[in-house]
Amino acid sequence: MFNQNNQYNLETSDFEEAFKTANALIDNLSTVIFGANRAVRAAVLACLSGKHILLEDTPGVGKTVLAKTLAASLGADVSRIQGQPDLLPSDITGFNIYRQELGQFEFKPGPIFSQIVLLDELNRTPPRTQSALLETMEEKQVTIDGVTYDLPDPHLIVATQNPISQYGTFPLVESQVDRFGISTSLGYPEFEEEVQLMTSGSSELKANAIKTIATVEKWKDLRQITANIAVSEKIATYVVKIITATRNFEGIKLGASPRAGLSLIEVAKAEAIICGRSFVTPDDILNCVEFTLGHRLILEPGTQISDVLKTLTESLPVPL
Amino acid sequence: MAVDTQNKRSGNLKIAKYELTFEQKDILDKSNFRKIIYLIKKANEPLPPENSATLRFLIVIEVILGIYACYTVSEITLVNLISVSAVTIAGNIFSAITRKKPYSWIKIILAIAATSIFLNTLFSIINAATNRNVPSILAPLAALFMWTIAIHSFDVPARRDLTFSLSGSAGLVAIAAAQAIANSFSIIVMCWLIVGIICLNLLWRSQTLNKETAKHAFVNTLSAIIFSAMISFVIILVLPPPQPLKSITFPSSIQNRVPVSNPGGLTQGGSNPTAPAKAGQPGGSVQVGGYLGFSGPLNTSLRGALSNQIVLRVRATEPGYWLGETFNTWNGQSWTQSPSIIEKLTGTPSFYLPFKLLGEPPRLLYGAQQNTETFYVATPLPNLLFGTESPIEIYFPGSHLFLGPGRSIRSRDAMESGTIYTVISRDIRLNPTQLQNVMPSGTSYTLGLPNSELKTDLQLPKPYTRVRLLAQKIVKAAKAKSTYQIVTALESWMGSHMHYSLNIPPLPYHADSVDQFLFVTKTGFCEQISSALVVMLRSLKIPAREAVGYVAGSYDPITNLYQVKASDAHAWVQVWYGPNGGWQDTDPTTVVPYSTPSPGQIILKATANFAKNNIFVILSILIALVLVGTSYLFINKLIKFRQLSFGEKIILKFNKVGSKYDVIYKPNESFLRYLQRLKNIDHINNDPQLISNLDSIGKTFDNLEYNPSVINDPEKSNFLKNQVLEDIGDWISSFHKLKL
Repeated sequence: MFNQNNQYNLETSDFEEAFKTANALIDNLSTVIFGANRAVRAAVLACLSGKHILLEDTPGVGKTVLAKTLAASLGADVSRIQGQPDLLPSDITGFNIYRQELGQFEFKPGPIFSQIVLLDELNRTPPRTQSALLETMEEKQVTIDGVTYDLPDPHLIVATQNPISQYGTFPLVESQVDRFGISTSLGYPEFEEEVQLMTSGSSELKANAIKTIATVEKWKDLRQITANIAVSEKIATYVVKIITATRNFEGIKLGASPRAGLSLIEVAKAEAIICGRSFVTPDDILNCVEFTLGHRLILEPGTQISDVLKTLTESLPVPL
Repeated sequence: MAVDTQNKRSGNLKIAKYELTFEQKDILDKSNFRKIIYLIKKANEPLPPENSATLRFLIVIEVILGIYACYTVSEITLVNLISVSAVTIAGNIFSAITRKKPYSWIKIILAIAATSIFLNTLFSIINAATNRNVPSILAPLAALFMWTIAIHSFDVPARRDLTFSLSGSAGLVAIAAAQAIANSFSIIVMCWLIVGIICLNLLWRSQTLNKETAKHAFVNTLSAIIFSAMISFVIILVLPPPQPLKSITFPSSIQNRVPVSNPGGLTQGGSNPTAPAKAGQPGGSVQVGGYLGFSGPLNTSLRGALSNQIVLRVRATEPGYWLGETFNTWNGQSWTQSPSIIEKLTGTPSFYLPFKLLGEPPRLLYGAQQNTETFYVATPLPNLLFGTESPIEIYFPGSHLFLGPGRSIRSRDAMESGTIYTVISRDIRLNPTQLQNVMPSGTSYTLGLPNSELKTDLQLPKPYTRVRLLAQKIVKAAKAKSTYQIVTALESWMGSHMHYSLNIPPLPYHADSVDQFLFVTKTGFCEQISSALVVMLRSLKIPAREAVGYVAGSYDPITNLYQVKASDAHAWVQVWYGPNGGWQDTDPTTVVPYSTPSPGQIILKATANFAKNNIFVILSILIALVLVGTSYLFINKLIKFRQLSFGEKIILKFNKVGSKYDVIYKPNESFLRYLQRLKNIDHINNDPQLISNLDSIGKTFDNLEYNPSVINDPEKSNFLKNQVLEDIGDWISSFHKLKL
């Protein structure tokens, strides 16, 4: 793959700082998670762009470790929700509890009120609970008994789901899938990497021992800088071309929404930061297409998302 | 935040240098004095080098075209042409090589060279002025201009300097055009214009480098050309007729001085004429310019076919008959002159013609008109000087001229093509009323005629009884009394009873030409008709003589010259109109045009005539144009023809290199990914310098193509474009060196 670590001419110290932090984050995650560079990159992109991330994988490949390491690196608090068929919305959002000694109800925030939330096996939760997540994901707030509570500012949901064909799952609602900015799969590591994994000791321990390389404040700054990355008209046109192409493309049943396009541009901005640039190039877009569109498109049976997206992007000329 | 701090830092040294000007701009707002200092500094700052070899090459072509144009009008010699062109080419090559880092000492050397050339010119002008050789002042000026441009070409690194060269070439073409006399000069102008338009287009295109405007470059250029063509056409239409020349000196020059073998005598122009048709022997031809009447006796029994080649170009105040000489002695077949006295005229560069040699001038009852005619000899001619009726001054290069009988002015040197001479005449041209008034009926026809001419201008070889009776009959029938009435009566009788034809049966041996014409063939051309008129007038005791020369020729509105062809040679009659009228031309064959035409009217008339005669051709061209236009638009819509963008051009440059190694650019991959693939080429992957240069080119490319803060800042993007082009040039050349 194209060498991503090329340092471009940076135009401000802020960009330089953001570039360094983002790459340090990648290095940090890579010390714990072996053989899943794409997932690591997706996680960092999610951090920078403020998009929620959906990991689609079988159990035991390191999803939880990824979320924990991320939280530890950023000095953020992390909570974990285990998806299961009898999980109620209040188990996620929190609920009002009657405090007898005070004689009033007190809000008991749920695990969603952490800066990083690991939603394990999301597709095992019933649809009712899934839809409760809708508001929290898009609005970044929770409403309980008519009172609205803001979620913490850097707020990142790392959801995982088992492949849909497995037993005991509820397919995710389309609107909810659309709210995840990034999706990827960790996949099984390579043979050598797996051997290394076996010998390197407990990944849980390593995750706990990870060094913090940024504060929550810094994370907020990073997101601000990412939002300021410049996007030229050519790039915007290119993105719209990709998005509209998905709506009428062989092998795709349901194309991407305009939100998918916006999300693609936001994630590509984060990609530009990682590459140390203050503007988005077509390479950024191409690198992020699968991350942002992979989970949103509904495919005809018998097609592979990566193949479809590859043929689609190759059918479009790069803007000049 | 990002925008505010963008200009502060730069990863690139060149950008940092460029950014400095922003700070300087801040200074500009503060003080006027600093502003002036800054502006002066900026004006002297070296501009970015011009990298386009095509543009440089075309501008050299333009300058050489300008120099060649000057050469064609004899402004400079062949040696000068070759040396100036060589210096220009060498200078431009030097400039192209040193364009990135021009030597500062070159300016000093150039300044010294320019000064010495200027001094040289100054001295030659002073020399010419002290020798009273006014026309030769102009030539050193043209040479000065030319050498200045040639020297300047050693210091043209930037585009702005090249535009100076381009405008210099325009000056050269203008100098040449002011003196051009042949329409063939327009070929040079056309070439210069076409190359010039391409140059301007290139200059403009590389200056803007904007995809949107570049798209319209062709259409804009075309409409600009059409617009200026229309404007110039309108200007030509409203242009007044050319004014008489007002100058202290007149053109005169001679190319190769070849003295004639018989000084004072007349020569055949050019090479030997082929044998003309003789009496009883039809056929035969005479070479260009070799009209027999210009080099000896006018034998009406001989005739030759004259071609349509241009022999003379005349710039004249007014059109007229260009008189060569007159004949007064008739022997029944040929006209000769008597007495054959040859006078030598001296003086240079202008010769005054004494009245006593040309005959007494008529009394200026109606006022004379001064006409100036400059003759440009186009093909070798007899050494006879032409001019309207009464020349008073002649500008001819050379120390002397000869004045022969019958007003024939002969040059000492052969009249080769390229010879130029100017004749100033004081002509009296009378209208019919005035002609009637100067010789009213009842006065003696020979009134005022010098006694010496009484014999010669009324001379007849035999009584011509038949002719006299005919003339008297005609005059009686027309009730003509005065000279003018008689002349018009005879002319109109001939007009209604004789036929004009160049193809007449040969004159029988010993037959009288006039008698044969009037009573046997009744067909003839100017020689027969005019001879018959002279003989008839003389039989009525009216002094008359035969004149030969050229008719005015066709007027060329572009060059403002009359183009005289060999076939314009003509013979007509001069009749004596007393002391107040003198010798007046009358042409029984054609009508004499006596008015200066307006160039615009002539063009309009010619255009209208052409349109009328070629209506179907014009219609079919128009239809074809419409068809081509619509099909072009249609095809354009089908296949989207478009200009290559800057990015595509750059990619093409690398693709040229890569395609030799089967690393071909695919439109669906980004330029950076293509560069990554290029890096795997054998020669490149071993050289870290080449690889890192590729990376920096890729970075600049991305900035140019996708960074809005660069795209929206034309100054910055132009700077980066020049830089990346330079880098790519360096990269490709070092790659080729490595390969070797």
